This record gives sequence, C-alpha cells and structure tokens, in this order.
Amino acid sequence: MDFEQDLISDLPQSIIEIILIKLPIRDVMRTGILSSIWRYKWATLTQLAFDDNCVTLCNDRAIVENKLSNFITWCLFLHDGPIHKFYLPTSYLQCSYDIDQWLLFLSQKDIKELVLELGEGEWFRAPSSLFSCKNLTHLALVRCELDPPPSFKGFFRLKYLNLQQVLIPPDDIECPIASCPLPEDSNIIVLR
Amino acid sequence: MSSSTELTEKKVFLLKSLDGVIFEVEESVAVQLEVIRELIEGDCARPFISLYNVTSEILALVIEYCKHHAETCSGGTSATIADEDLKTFDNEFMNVDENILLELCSAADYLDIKSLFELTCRTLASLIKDRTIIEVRKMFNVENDFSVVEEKAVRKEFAWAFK
Repeated sequence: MDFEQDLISDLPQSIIEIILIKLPIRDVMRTGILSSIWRYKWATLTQLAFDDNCVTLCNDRAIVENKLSNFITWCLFLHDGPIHKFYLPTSYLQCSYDIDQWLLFLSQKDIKELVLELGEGEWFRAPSSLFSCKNLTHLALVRCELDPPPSFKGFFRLKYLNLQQVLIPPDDIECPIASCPLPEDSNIIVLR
Repeated sequence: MSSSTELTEKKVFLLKSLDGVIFEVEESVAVQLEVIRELIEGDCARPFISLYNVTSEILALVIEYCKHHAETCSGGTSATIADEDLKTFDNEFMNVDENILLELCSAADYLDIKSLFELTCRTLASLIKDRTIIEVRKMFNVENDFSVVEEKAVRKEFAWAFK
C-alpha cells in the first residue's frame, strides 16, 4: 500500500548519494538518526563539503574554531571509503595541526578535488602529504604556503588549478605544480 | 497516446511500460531517454521498446516532461524565455507527492534522463533540508526501527555534530 511504503530507504546508494550531496553536511549527518538502514549511509559519501555553517556560530571566535575543527575531524573519523572531493571554504580556520592531519587522511583516500580556502591570520603551510595526492584533478588553495619536497615532480592529472595568496619559495617557482597552465587570476607570492 | 492519423514524416516510437501500457512518442521525446538512444539510432526500436522498471503512471509523467522540454527547446523562442518557461514548468512539475517524486527520480535514473534526475534529486534534497528527523521519517514513511535505548545512543553518537 502506497501510504506505508518506504521508498526512499530502498533507493540505490548511488541515487541517495546524489541527493545527500545537495544538502548541507549537517543535514547529511543527521540522516544517520532516521533508522538503522540510514545510520551509516552518509559515511560512504565520496564528496564532503564543509563550511562555517557546519557549526552554530557565536561571538567567541576560539569556540567556533574549535567546534568546526572537531566537526570535521569527527566526520572524517567516522567516514568509510574513498573521498574524492573535499571542500572547505572557511573564514575561521587557518594554520592548524588539524588541517595537516586531514590532508594526510585525504591523501590516503584517493582525493581528486581539493578546495581549501582558509581564513586570514597565520598562513597554512601545506604538509608533504598534499604533494603525495597523485590523483588530484582540481586544486584550489587560498592563503597557503607551498614548499614541495625535492622529490615532487608535479600533479600530473591536474586539470584545474587556482592559487590565491599562495606563497612559493623562489627556488620552486618553476617547479611543476601542475601540468596545466595557471588561470590568469591566480595570485602567487614569491617568498623573499 | 497521440493520434496516429497525422500525416507527417515525424518518426514515432512505441514505449511499453512495466504494466503493459503502450505510449506513442515522437523522436524528439524518445531521444531524451538516453537508455534507449542506441536502440533508436540503430533502428532496433521495433515493434516497441519495453521499459521494465517504469509503471504507466510514471512513464506518462516522464513523457509529459520530455515533451515539454523538447517543444520548448525547439520552439524558436529566445534562450532566456525558454529557460524561464522551463523553470516554471519544472517547478510545477515537481508539485507531486513524495512517493511519485521518488518514483520519478528512480525512473529518471533508469531511463538516464539527466535533467529530470537532477531536478528530482534537488527537489528531494530540498524536502529533507531543515526538517527534523521526525518530520523526514513521517514524510517518506521511514520506519524508526531503533528501540528507545538505541535511538538515545545514536542521538548521543551524533550529538557532537549539533552542539
């Protein structure tokens, strides 16, 4: 009978994933409470988009930073399987050890699209794990410092690169970050 | 379902639903169903194409959608007017109950109609967004199979996300 049928839980995971990625991540996580079938459906999403609205904002910046970091860490901790896309535009997070850890985690999750737009403050120095993300096709960084290890030869699969307010040491400016040309509006600062 | 007495050169195809109803559609409609495009182009679509996963109720809606999109895009109106028209149509078209919406979504996935799939997924997401868990369960008839103790434990597990 139509009125009792649960059609949404029976949808294939591939369709559920498309629906869930259109929701803010807080709503995505909450679907885990719907029923036992839904408990970990969100956990295999291959695309995770975070932003400042993941947490309830308040006037105390340190509290928001802390909540946001914890939220992202816990999502990643409970996640299961590959993560192909990771987006984090934020005005609250800057240089932090947590971001290093996330990038290390993502580098082992077959990450292909990475967007990291960090807030003003101390610039984030990308850890070496970033340069081991061999399958990156899309990379956008805002307010970061890049110092690739000598063994780094470039992201050969990259099709899109956008660097805004990114520091690169002068020796490395010719280093092949990408096999694709930089977009015209890129903003790279060479360290003196 | 359209009249077969038209003396036009337009190619028509017959689509058979799961429950055996046959629909006559023009080529401009049929080609939007990517899943049968090869059959059409290879001229292998005779006498009819069976669509085993779609009921006649849903197939009629899918055809209405494809027909409107085909007519609007070939109507000779400017792109902006056509876009506006499609937006209005899509909004009205999504004004169906949740179960029909879910069936349309499954059908669009199976028939490989990208725009309809995107539209239904977006609409389903908007129904879930900002609603409480209890409201979402009720809307889609999701049975809460957690015991009181289990649900408390699960809510606690996710509590960190909602602080």
